[in-house]
Amino acid sequence: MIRSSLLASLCLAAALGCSSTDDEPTFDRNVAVASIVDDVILPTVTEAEAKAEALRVAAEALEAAPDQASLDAAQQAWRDARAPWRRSDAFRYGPVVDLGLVGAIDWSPTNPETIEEIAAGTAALDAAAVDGLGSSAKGFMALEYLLFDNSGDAPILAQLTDPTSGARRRLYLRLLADNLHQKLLQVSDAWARDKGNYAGALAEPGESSPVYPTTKKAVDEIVNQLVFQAEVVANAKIGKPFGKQSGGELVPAAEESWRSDNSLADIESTWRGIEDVYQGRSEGQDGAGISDMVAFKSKDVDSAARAAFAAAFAAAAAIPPPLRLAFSANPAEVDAAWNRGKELKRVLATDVVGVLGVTLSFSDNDGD
Amino acid sequence: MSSRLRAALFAPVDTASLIAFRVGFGLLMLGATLRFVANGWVREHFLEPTFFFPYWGLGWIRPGPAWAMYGLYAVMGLAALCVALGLLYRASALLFFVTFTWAHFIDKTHWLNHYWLVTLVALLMGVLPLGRAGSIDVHLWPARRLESFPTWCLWLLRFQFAVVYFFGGVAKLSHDWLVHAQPLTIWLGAHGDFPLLGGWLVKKSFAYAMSWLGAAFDLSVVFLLLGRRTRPFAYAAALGFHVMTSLLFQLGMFPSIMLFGALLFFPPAWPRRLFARWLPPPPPPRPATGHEPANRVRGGPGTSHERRVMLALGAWALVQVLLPLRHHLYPGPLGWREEGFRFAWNVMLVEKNGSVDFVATEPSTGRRWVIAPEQYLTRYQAKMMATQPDMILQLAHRVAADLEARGARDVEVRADAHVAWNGRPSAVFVDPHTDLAQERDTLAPKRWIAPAPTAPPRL
Repeated sequence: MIRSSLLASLCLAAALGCSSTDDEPTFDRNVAVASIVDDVILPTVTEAEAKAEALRVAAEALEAAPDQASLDAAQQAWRDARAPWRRSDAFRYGPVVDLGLVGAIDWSPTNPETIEEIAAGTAALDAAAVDGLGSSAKGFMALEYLLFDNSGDAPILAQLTDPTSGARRRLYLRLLADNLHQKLLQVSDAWARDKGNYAGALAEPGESSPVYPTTKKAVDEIVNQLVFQAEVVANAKIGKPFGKQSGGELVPAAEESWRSDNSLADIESTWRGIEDVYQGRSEGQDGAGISDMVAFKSKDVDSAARAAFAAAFAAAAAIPPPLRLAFSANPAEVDAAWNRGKELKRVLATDVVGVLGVTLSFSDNDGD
Repeated sequence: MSSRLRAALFAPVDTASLIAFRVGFGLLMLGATLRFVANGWVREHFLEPTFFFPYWGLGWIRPGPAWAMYGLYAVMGLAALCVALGLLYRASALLFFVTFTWAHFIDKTHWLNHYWLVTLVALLMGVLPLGRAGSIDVHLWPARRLESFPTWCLWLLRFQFAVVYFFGGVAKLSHDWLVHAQPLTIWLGAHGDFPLLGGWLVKKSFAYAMSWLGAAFDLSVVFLLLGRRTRPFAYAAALGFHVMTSLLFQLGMFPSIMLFGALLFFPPAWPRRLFARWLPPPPPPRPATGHEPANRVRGGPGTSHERRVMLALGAWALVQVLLPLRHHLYPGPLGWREEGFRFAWNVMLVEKNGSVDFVATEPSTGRRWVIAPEQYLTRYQAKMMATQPDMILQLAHRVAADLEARGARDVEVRADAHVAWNGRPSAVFVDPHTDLAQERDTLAPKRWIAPAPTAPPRL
């Protein structure tokens, strides 16, 4: 009886399997993974490095001739460099983590006391000295401290042109920009196919990949990061300073780029990076991305995800900048953006992950 | 009937396969312990988290500091080795049982069916006299040597593995598994690059085939292993099944344990045949009196000892059969509600992904907090908590206690929880109006779990 049941099951399985080998559509996830690497990740890390180089050049100009024009240029260069870096949040794995560079590039909050001590000090200040500084005295946020004051540029210019300390302050600023560029160059090189080739490791998963033995591992890595960054934006970048975790009391210090009032742009850039990966978007054109994998399984889920992105961007755009003031002046708009951010995270963490069979796991634990 | 059963259970049986099992189980557990430490899981599971999810009634099982946890694993590994060697066997088996169970009962985040199986088998081995043959113990204390074991020892372990397979199969007789081929459709669909079979794995028809075959395998393999003619084919099927699943899914030691356990169904002398060059032939058969001094575990035929053994065996079997069935006492689909889910061999039945935030309020002031689980949990804990109602409740209680410790009064905590289950659209998982701070963690049905979505999976 049992044997005949098993035999029948085997026959059923064979029939089901054999009868439909060729008529069921399939989707090659490797294509989407490769597209994400080549059309999204590589251009973004390259752009981040190029914009950091432009910031370094602007910092040199500011060092040589500190005036309103050179300060404006340096500030704009900082904002320009910030955008691709924030978009790269969506793939904050691989080289930037393996090389331990996240803190050196972007550590918040800064330590103003340390920065002022260095700027006013007498110790040798050169590239090696800056490289040896702690994360709270270098990277994007230290540069922001030296370049921006949200009350206006006058105090910044006064510090940079101070007859006694201005030159050293400008030197420190230029060395910070140079150090930042070096770090982003390291990241870019490590990803580059003709150098560190992490791109190849991710884009061609399998036995030959030193990091991703299967396509599933690669997809898991990509999607896990999207979910995580969506969570970070909603909770840490909007919710926390907005007082969601503190009984409604605002926590201004938790806002990331408040000196430059670049926080909203940062948030939108991170969301944009997530969306770029999701849609495989390069230079404004959608390519093969996570969206295609999802749509192959469920067009409804893909539509829901795209709608969640659109709603999040619309909600962020509805906040009158700067975010620092909007927390008090426009709480309804901020609350809406926070809600849309949570919704985006929810759709990614439940529906998208659910249809892809992604292991939403942040460890290599066993299952049963 | 009773006397025939008693005679059968206490008849002598060759020690060889049980010794092989003891050695193999001990070495597997030694390997598992070393692997656990080498993978950094002691740190990840016990030292990094600041909050743990204890099992119901077992909140007193807590992790210790780093030295204690690494010490625990050192003792665990040493005990496993001693089990394999048969050195101070019974104490070692019980020590392994205690240390393993303690470690894995600290946090239900890391619940795995095979951890539960190891706990049960370790406890049984602490009771069985498997160190009284083929062991260092009998070299040190020859008087303890047994020429044979009572048959019930073999059948008790066979029963334990049979329960895993059979109830694993029963659990697969569900609507989602058989009608929708879920969650295999989702899981296999993520393995399109699997060597040779990748093109098949992503097809719905293949998921159906594997679902039905998997259920048929689990339900029938024990019976096929018991049949002399079918046994080789059944073991080959088990080998194929476990190797395949271990390649597709990260199952750790589970396939090895099950394949080793399945060897218990072979004739007890199989190691003597396999290793005839090194192992002595079995001792000549003798009447099963059980009175021979060197062959007596304790008592004899018809003694109160035998009655106690039979009573204990019956009670154990009853518990093992009832535990997997207890979920019928709860309403709603098991995979959604997960009441009675653990300790029941629900192996690889559910794909759930969730998102939870806790909304805490202080009614007297109107203050409101939105708490993300990551404020308390590691990312892995947060992922596991998000789909398991009892864990959501435990964290809600912690949130309330924390806020009250910081001065808030009469805090109410509600969960904003959504879960996507076996390919269905995500749905509200917890009644958003229920103040979880007021809900007690009991074994009673949880009325605040939202109804399961009725839509079929969309994949």
